[in-house]
Amino acid sequence: MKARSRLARIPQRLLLVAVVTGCAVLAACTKNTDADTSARESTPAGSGAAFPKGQYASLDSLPDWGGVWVGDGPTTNEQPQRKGKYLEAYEEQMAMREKGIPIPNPFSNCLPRGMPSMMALGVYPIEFLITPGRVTVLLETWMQWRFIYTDGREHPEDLDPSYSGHSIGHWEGDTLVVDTIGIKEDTIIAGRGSRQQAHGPNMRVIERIHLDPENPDTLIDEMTITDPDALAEPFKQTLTFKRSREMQLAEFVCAENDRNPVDASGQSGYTIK
Amino acid sequence: MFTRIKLLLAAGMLIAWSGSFAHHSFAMFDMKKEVTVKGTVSEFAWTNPHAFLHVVVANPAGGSKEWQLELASPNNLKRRGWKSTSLKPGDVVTVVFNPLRDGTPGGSFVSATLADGTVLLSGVKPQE
Repeated sequence: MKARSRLARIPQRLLLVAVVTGCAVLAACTKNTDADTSARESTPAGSGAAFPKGQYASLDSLPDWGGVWVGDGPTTNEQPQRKGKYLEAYEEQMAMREKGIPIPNPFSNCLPRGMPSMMALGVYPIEFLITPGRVTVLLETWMQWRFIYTDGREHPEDLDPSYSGHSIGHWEGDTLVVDTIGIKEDTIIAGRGSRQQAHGPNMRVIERIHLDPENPDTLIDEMTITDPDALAEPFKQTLTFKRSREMQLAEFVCAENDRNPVDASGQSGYTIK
Repeated sequence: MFTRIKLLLAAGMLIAWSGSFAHHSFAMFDMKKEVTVKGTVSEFAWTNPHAFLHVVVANPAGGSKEWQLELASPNNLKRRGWKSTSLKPGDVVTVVFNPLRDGTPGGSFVSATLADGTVLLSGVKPQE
Protein backbone atom coordinates (compact mmCIF):
# COMPACT_ATOMS: atom_id res chain seq x y z
CA MET A 1 0.00 0.00 0.00
CA LYS A 2 2.75 2.36 1.04
CA ALA A 3 4.81 1.34 -1.97
CA ARG A 4 1.85 1.86 -4.29
CA SER A 5 1.23 5.40 -3.01
CA ARG A 6 4.89 6.22 -3.58
CA LEU A 7 4.61 4.88 -7.12
CA ALA A 8 1.44 6.82 -7.64
CA ARG A 9 3.22 9.97 -6.60
CA ILE A 10 6.02 9.61 -9.18
CA PRO A 11 3.87 10.22 -12.21
CA GLN A 12 2.50 13.34 -10.51
CA ARG A 13 6.03 14.62 -10.03
CA LEU A 14 6.84 13.78 -13.62
CA LEU A 15 3.70 15.55 -14.71
CA LEU A 16 4.75 18.61 -12.73
CA VAL A 17 8.21 18.55 -14.31
CA ALA A 18 6.62 18.07 -17.70
CA VAL A 19 4.24 20.97 -17.15
CA VAL A 20 7.01 23.29 -15.96
CA THR A 21 9.28 22.27 -18.87
CA GLY A 22 6.39 22.51 -21.29
CA CYS A 23 5.58 26.02 -20.11
CA ALA A 24 9.22 27.03 -20.48
CA VAL A 25 9.32 25.59 -24.00
CA LEU A 26 5.97 27.15 -24.82
CA ALA A 27 7.23 30.50 -23.55
CA ALA A 28 10.32 30.17 -25.72
CA CYS A 29 8.18 29.18 -28.69
CA THR A 30 5.80 32.03 -28.08
CA LYS A 31 8.77 34.36 -27.96
CA ASN A 32 10.11 32.94 -31.26
CA THR A 33 6.69 33.24 -32.82
CA ASP A 34 6.60 36.86 -31.77
CA ALA A 35 9.99 37.39 -33.37
CA ASP A 36 8.85 35.68 -36.58
CA THR A 37 5.69 37.74 -36.65
CA SER A 38 7.64 40.98 -36.34
CA ALA A 39 9.94 39.84 -39.17
CA ARG A 40 6.89 39.12 -41.30
CA GLU A 41 5.34 42.43 -40.40
CA SER A 42 8.47 44.23 -41.56
CA THR A 43 7.90 42.72 -45.03
CA PRO A 44 5.74 45.13 -47.04
CA ALA A 45 2.26 43.84 -47.87
CA GLY A 46 2.12 42.00 -51.18
CA SER A 47 5.83 41.22 -51.30
CA GLY A 48 5.96 38.08 -49.15
CA ALA A 49 4.88 34.53 -49.88
CA ALA A 50 1.90 34.10 -52.18
CA PHE A 51 -1.28 32.99 -50.39
CA PRO A 52 0.62 31.19 -47.61
CA LYS A 53 -2.58 29.75 -46.15
CA GLY A 54 -3.78 27.75 -49.13
CA GLN A 55 -6.52 28.36 -51.72
CA TYR A 56 -5.51 25.09 -53.39
CA ALA A 57 -9.00 24.60 -54.85
CA SER A 58 -8.25 27.55 -57.14
CA LEU A 59 -5.74 25.35 -58.98
CA ASP A 60 -8.24 22.70 -60.09
CA SER A 61 -9.30 24.55 -63.23
CA LEU A 62 -5.75 25.21 -64.48
CA PRO A 63 -4.20 23.25 -67.38
CA ASP A 64 -1.97 20.20 -66.85
CA TRP A 65 1.63 21.37 -67.12
CA GLY A 66 2.92 18.34 -65.22
CA GLY A 67 6.15 16.52 -65.96
CA VAL A 68 9.30 18.35 -67.08
CA TRP A 69 9.79 20.28 -70.31
CA VAL A 70 12.81 20.11 -72.59
CA GLY A 71 13.36 23.24 -74.62
CA ASP A 72 13.90 23.22 -78.37
CA GLY A 73 15.70 26.54 -78.06
CA PRO A 74 14.66 29.52 -80.20
CA THR A 75 12.85 28.56 -83.42
CA THR A 76 14.93 31.02 -85.43
CA ASN A 77 18.35 32.63 -85.12
CA GLU A 78 16.79 36.02 -85.58
CA GLN A 79 18.44 38.79 -83.60
CA PRO A 80 16.78 41.83 -82.00
CA GLN A 81 17.00 45.20 -83.76
CA ARG A 82 19.47 46.88 -81.44
CA LYS A 83 20.25 50.60 -81.29
CA GLY A 84 22.77 53.05 -79.86
CA LYS A 85 25.76 51.76 -77.91
CA TYR A 86 24.14 48.33 -77.69
CA LEU A 87 24.13 48.04 -81.49
CA GLU A 88 27.75 49.26 -81.69
CA ALA A 89 28.87 46.73 -79.07
CA TYR A 90 27.03 43.90 -80.82
CA GLU A 91 28.45 44.78 -84.26
CA GLU A 92 31.94 44.96 -82.78
CA GLN A 93 31.49 41.48 -81.27
CA MET A 94 30.16 40.00 -84.50
CA ALA A 95 33.08 41.54 -86.46
CA MET A 96 35.47 39.81 -84.07
CA ARG A 97 33.68 36.51 -84.62
CA GLU A 98 33.97 36.94 -88.38
CA LYS A 99 37.73 37.28 -87.93
CA GLY A 100 37.84 34.19 -85.73
CA ILE A 101 38.65 36.23 -82.63
CA PRO A 102 36.80 34.93 -79.56
CA ILE A 103 34.36 37.50 -78.15
CA PRO A 104 35.69 38.71 -74.80
CA ASN A 105 33.34 38.04 -71.92
CA PRO A 106 35.04 38.95 -68.65
CA PHE A 107 32.44 37.24 -66.49
CA SER A 108 32.63 33.92 -64.72
CA ASN A 109 31.45 31.01 -66.83
CA CYS A 110 29.50 29.88 -63.79
CA LEU A 111 27.15 32.87 -63.87
CA PRO A 112 23.56 31.82 -64.62
CA ARG A 113 21.99 32.88 -67.92
CA GLY A 114 19.14 34.85 -66.40
CA MET A 115 16.12 36.19 -68.27
CA PRO A 116 15.20 35.97 -71.04
CA SER A 117 17.71 33.50 -72.53
CA MET A 118 17.36 31.16 -69.54
CA MET A 119 14.08 30.12 -71.16
CA ALA A 120 15.72 29.58 -74.56
CA LEU A 121 18.29 26.93 -73.61
CA GLY A 122 17.65 23.64 -75.28
CA VAL A 123 18.64 20.28 -73.81
CA TYR A 124 18.29 21.10 -70.12
CA PRO A 125 14.76 20.57 -68.75
CA ILE A 126 12.57 22.97 -66.80
CA GLU A 127 9.63 22.27 -64.48
CA PHE A 128 6.57 24.30 -63.48
CA LEU A 129 5.26 24.16 -59.92
CA ILE A 130 1.81 25.70 -59.80
CA THR A 131 0.78 26.69 -56.27
CA PRO A 132 -1.82 29.19 -55.00
CA GLY A 133 -0.77 32.69 -55.99
CA ARG A 134 2.52 31.66 -57.60
CA VAL A 135 3.93 29.70 -60.51
CA THR A 136 7.52 28.62 -59.89
CA VAL A 137 9.73 27.68 -62.82
CA LEU A 138 12.66 25.48 -61.88
CA LEU A 139 15.48 25.38 -64.43
CA GLU A 140 18.15 22.72 -64.27
CA THR A 141 20.96 24.84 -65.74
CA TRP A 142 22.75 26.60 -62.91
CA MET A 143 19.77 25.55 -60.75
CA GLN A 144 17.92 28.77 -61.50
CA TRP A 145 14.35 29.54 -60.55
CA ARG A 146 11.66 32.04 -61.51
CA PHE A 147 8.89 33.12 -59.17
CA ILE A 148 5.85 34.30 -61.12
CA TYR A 149 3.39 35.85 -58.67
CA THR A 150 -0.22 35.30 -59.69
CA ASP A 151 -1.80 36.72 -56.50
CA GLY A 152 -2.54 40.08 -58.04
CA ARG A 153 0.42 42.00 -56.67
CA GLU A 154 2.27 44.68 -58.67
CA HIS A 155 6.02 44.96 -59.29
CA PRO A 156 7.73 46.60 -56.31
CA GLU A 157 8.85 50.18 -56.86
CA ASP A 158 12.36 49.77 -55.46
CA LEU A 159 13.37 46.70 -57.42
CA ASP A 160 16.88 45.28 -57.06
CA PRO A 161 17.94 43.90 -60.47
CA SER A 162 18.34 40.12 -60.52
CA TYR A 163 19.10 37.41 -63.08
CA SER A 164 15.51 36.13 -63.15
CA GLY A 165 13.98 39.58 -62.65
CA HIS A 166 10.62 40.16 -60.94
CA SER A 167 7.66 38.42 -62.53
CA ILE A 168 3.95 38.92 -62.08
CA GLY A 169 1.43 36.87 -64.00
CA HIS A 170 -2.21 36.08 -64.50
CA TRP A 171 -4.19 33.38 -66.23
CA GLU A 172 -6.18 34.23 -69.36
CA GLY A 173 -8.02 30.95 -69.76
CA ASP A 174 -5.33 28.32 -70.16
CA THR A 175 -2.62 30.88 -70.98
CA LEU A 176 -0.26 32.21 -68.32
CA VAL A 177 0.60 35.82 -69.13
CA VAL A 178 3.85 36.89 -67.47
CA ASP A 179 5.38 40.35 -67.12
CA THR A 180 9.03 40.46 -66.05
CA ILE A 181 11.16 43.52 -65.25
CA GLY A 182 14.16 44.23 -63.00
CA ILE A 183 16.58 42.09 -65.00
CA LYS A 184 20.33 42.57 -64.53
CA GLU A 185 21.94 44.30 -67.51
CA ASP A 186 24.45 41.51 -68.17
CA THR A 187 21.94 38.86 -69.22
CA ILE A 188 21.97 38.06 -72.94
CA ILE A 189 18.73 38.77 -74.84
CA ALA A 190 19.08 36.16 -77.56
CA GLY A 191 21.73 34.17 -79.37
CA ARG A 192 25.36 34.67 -78.53
CA GLY A 193 27.49 37.60 -77.60
CA SER A 194 29.16 39.18 -74.63
CA ARG A 195 27.33 39.98 -71.44
CA GLN A 196 28.82 43.47 -71.73
CA GLN A 197 26.32 46.03 -73.11
CA ALA A 198 23.80 43.19 -73.34
CA HIS A 199 20.69 45.30 -72.69
CA GLY A 200 19.40 48.28 -70.73
CA PRO A 201 18.02 48.54 -67.19
CA ASN A 202 14.40 48.86 -68.35
CA MET A 203 14.09 45.73 -70.45
CA ARG A 204 10.64 44.15 -70.13
CA VAL A 205 9.71 40.61 -71.10
CA ILE A 206 6.09 39.67 -71.73
CA GLU A 207 5.33 35.98 -72.15
CA ARG A 208 2.20 34.12 -73.14
CA ILE A 209 2.75 30.52 -72.07
CA HIS A 210 0.27 27.83 -73.08
CA LEU A 211 0.00 24.26 -74.32
CA ASP A 212 -0.06 23.75 -78.08
CA PRO A 213 -3.76 23.28 -78.97
CA GLU A 214 -2.64 20.69 -81.55
CA ASN A 215 -0.43 18.75 -79.12
CA PRO A 216 -0.76 19.02 -75.32
CA ASP A 217 2.77 17.60 -74.90
CA THR A 218 4.20 20.76 -76.47
CA LEU A 219 4.40 23.97 -74.48
CA ILE A 220 4.66 27.31 -76.28
CA ASP A 221 6.18 30.48 -74.82
CA GLU A 222 5.43 33.50 -77.00
CA MET A 223 7.88 36.12 -75.82
CA THR A 224 7.95 39.84 -76.57
CA ILE A 225 10.96 41.80 -75.35
CA THR A 226 11.02 45.58 -75.21
CA ASP A 227 13.92 47.79 -74.15
CA PRO A 228 13.71 51.60 -74.58
CA ASP A 229 17.51 51.93 -74.42
CA ALA A 230 18.77 48.93 -76.40
CA LEU A 231 16.06 47.90 -78.88
CA ALA A 232 14.74 49.84 -81.86
CA GLU A 233 11.59 47.73 -81.91
CA PRO A 234 10.08 44.94 -79.79
CA PHE A 235 11.77 41.59 -80.28
CA LYS A 236 9.44 38.64 -80.57
CA GLN A 237 10.44 35.02 -80.33
CA THR A 238 8.53 31.79 -79.88
CA LEU A 239 10.04 29.10 -77.69
CA THR A 240 8.76 25.54 -77.67
CA PHE A 241 9.23 22.76 -75.13
CA LYS A 242 8.52 19.01 -75.27
CA ARG A 243 7.01 17.25 -72.28
CA SER A 244 8.62 14.31 -70.52
CA ARG A 245 6.63 12.57 -67.80
CA GLU A 246 9.64 10.43 -66.85
CA MET A 247 12.60 12.80 -66.73
CA GLN A 248 13.58 14.51 -63.49
CA LEU A 249 15.60 17.65 -62.94
CA ALA A 250 19.17 16.89 -61.90
CA GLU A 251 21.59 18.87 -59.77
CA PHE A 252 23.86 21.35 -61.57
CA VAL A 253 26.50 22.95 -59.35
CA CYS A 254 28.81 24.85 -61.68
CA ALA A 255 31.44 25.48 -58.99
CA GLU A 256 31.93 21.73 -58.51
CA ASN A 257 34.63 21.38 -61.16
CA ASP A 258 34.85 24.55 -63.25
CA ARG A 259 38.14 24.28 -65.13
CA ASN A 260 37.52 27.25 -67.40
CA PRO A 261 38.84 30.40 -65.72
CA VAL A 262 38.30 33.75 -67.44
CA ASP A 263 41.40 35.95 -67.79
CA ALA A 264 41.65 39.75 -67.66
CA SER A 265 41.10 40.01 -71.42
CA GLY A 266 37.83 38.12 -71.08
CA GLN A 267 38.92 34.86 -72.65
CA SER A 268 38.09 31.44 -71.24
CA GLY A 269 41.07 29.29 -70.32
CA TYR A 270 41.46 25.58 -69.74
CA THR A 271 43.01 24.39 -66.51
CA ILE A 272 45.12 21.26 -66.52
CA LYS A 273 45.09 19.62 -63.08
CA MET B 1 25.75 -6.87 -82.88
CA PHE B 2 24.97 -5.40 -79.48
CA THR B 3 27.87 -3.00 -79.88
CA ARG B 4 26.61 -1.99 -83.30
CA ILE B 5 23.15 -1.29 -81.86
CA LYS B 6 24.75 0.73 -79.08
CA LEU B 7 26.77 2.66 -81.65
CA LEU B 8 23.68 3.37 -83.73
CA LEU B 9 21.82 4.44 -80.62
CA ALA B 10 24.68 6.75 -79.70
CA ALA B 11 24.81 8.13 -83.25
CA GLY B 12 21.07 8.76 -83.15
CA MET B 13 21.46 10.59 -79.87
CA LEU B 14 24.35 12.56 -81.34
CA ILE B 15 22.05 13.85 -84.05
CA ALA B 16 19.21 14.45 -81.60
CA TRP B 17 21.41 16.40 -79.23
CA SER B 18 23.56 18.27 -81.72
CA GLY B 19 23.57 21.98 -81.18
CA SER B 20 23.61 21.42 -77.44
CA PHE B 21 24.89 23.96 -75.06
CA ALA B 22 28.10 24.27 -73.07
CA HIS B 23 28.94 26.77 -70.35
CA HIS B 24 31.78 28.37 -72.33
CA SER B 25 32.77 29.12 -75.89
CA PHE B 26 34.47 26.39 -77.93
CA ALA B 27 36.87 28.93 -79.47
CA MET B 28 39.76 27.51 -77.42
CA PHE B 29 39.46 24.16 -79.21
CA ASP B 30 40.46 23.48 -82.81
CA MET B 31 37.11 22.01 -83.82
CA LYS B 32 38.34 21.26 -87.34
CA LYS B 33 41.08 18.99 -86.05
CA GLU B 34 40.54 15.53 -84.57
CA VAL B 35 43.24 13.73 -82.60
CA THR B 36 43.03 9.98 -81.92
CA VAL B 37 45.08 8.41 -79.13
CA LYS B 38 45.07 5.03 -77.40
CA GLY B 39 45.78 4.96 -73.70
CA THR B 40 44.67 4.07 -70.20
CA VAL B 41 42.02 5.95 -68.24
CA SER B 42 43.59 7.58 -65.17
CA GLU B 43 40.50 9.55 -64.06
CA PHE B 44 36.86 9.95 -65.03
CA ALA B 45 35.38 12.96 -63.19
CA TRP B 46 31.56 12.83 -63.22
CA THR B 47 31.19 16.51 -62.37
CA ASN B 48 29.45 19.73 -63.39
CA PRO B 49 29.64 21.87 -65.41
CA HIS B 50 31.61 19.28 -67.42
CA ALA B 51 32.71 15.70 -66.93
CA PHE B 52 36.43 15.12 -67.56
CA LEU B 53 38.32 12.11 -68.85
CA HIS B 54 42.04 11.79 -68.21
CA VAL B 55 43.87 9.34 -70.45
CA VAL B 56 47.56 8.42 -70.08
CA VAL B 57 49.23 7.66 -73.39
CA ALA B 58 52.59 5.89 -73.38
CA ASN B 59 55.31 7.41 -75.51
CA PRO B 60 57.17 4.72 -77.54
CA ALA B 61 60.39 6.66 -76.93
CA GLY B 62 59.80 6.49 -73.17
CA GLY B 63 57.64 8.29 -70.64
CA SER B 64 53.97 9.13 -71.08
CA LYS B 65 51.59 12.03 -71.59
CA GLU B 66 48.25 12.60 -69.86
CA TRP B 67 45.43 14.14 -71.89
CA GLN B 68 42.63 15.85 -69.93
CA LEU B 69 39.50 15.88 -72.05
CA GLU B 70 36.30 17.77 -71.45
CA LEU B 71 32.86 16.19 -71.96
CA ALA B 72 29.28 17.42 -71.61
CA SER B 73 27.67 17.69 -68.15
CA PRO B 74 26.71 14.47 -66.31
CA ASN B 75 23.02 15.46 -66.68
CA ASN B 76 23.28 15.38 -70.46
CA LEU B 77 25.63 12.41 -70.63
CA LYS B 78 23.22 10.40 -68.45
CA ARG B 79 20.33 11.22 -70.75
CA ARG B 80 22.45 9.98 -73.66
CA GLY B 81 22.94 6.64 -71.95
CA TRP B 82 26.19 7.28 -70.08
CA LYS B 83 26.79 6.25 -66.46
CA SER B 84 29.30 7.54 -63.94
CA THR B 85 30.90 4.09 -64.35
CA SER B 86 30.94 4.10 -68.17
CA LEU B 87 34.68 4.69 -67.97
CA LYS B 88 36.90 3.60 -65.09
CA PRO B 89 40.57 4.10 -64.21
CA GLY B 90 42.53 1.29 -65.83
CA ASP B 91 40.22 0.98 -68.87
CA VAL B 92 42.12 0.86 -72.14
CA VAL B 93 40.44 3.26 -74.56
CA THR B 94 40.91 4.81 -77.97
CA VAL B 95 39.73 8.39 -77.70
CA VAL B 96 39.02 11.01 -80.35
CA PHE B 97 39.00 14.69 -79.41
CA ASN B 98 39.33 18.22 -80.73
CA PRO B 99 42.60 19.52 -79.24
CA LEU B 100 43.20 22.84 -77.54
CA ARG B 101 44.67 25.39 -79.93
CA ASP B 102 47.50 26.38 -77.58
CA GLY B 103 49.04 22.90 -77.40
CA THR B 104 48.08 22.28 -73.78
CA PRO B 105 47.33 18.54 -73.40
CA GLY B 106 43.56 18.92 -73.29
CA GLY B 107 40.64 18.93 -75.66
CA SER B 108 36.96 18.53 -76.31
CA PHE B 109 35.95 14.86 -76.19
CA VAL B 110 34.38 13.37 -79.35
CA SER B 111 34.29 9.61 -78.73
CA ALA B 112 35.85 6.71 -76.86
CA THR B 113 36.10 3.11 -78.02
CA LEU B 114 36.53 0.56 -75.23
CA ALA B 115 38.48 -2.70 -75.49
CA ASP B 116 35.21 -4.64 -76.06
CA GLY B 117 34.30 -2.41 -79.00
CA THR B 118 31.71 -0.30 -77.16
CA VAL B 119 31.66 3.23 -78.56
CA LEU B 120 30.74 6.17 -76.32
CA LEU B 121 29.88 9.47 -77.99
CA SER B 122 29.65 12.87 -76.34
CA GLY B 123 27.36 14.52 -78.84
CA VAL B 124 28.40 18.02 -77.87
CA LYS B 125 28.47 20.49 -80.70
CA PRO B 126 29.96 23.92 -80.25
CA GLN B 127 27.92 27.08 -80.04
CA GLU B 128 30.48 29.20 -81.80
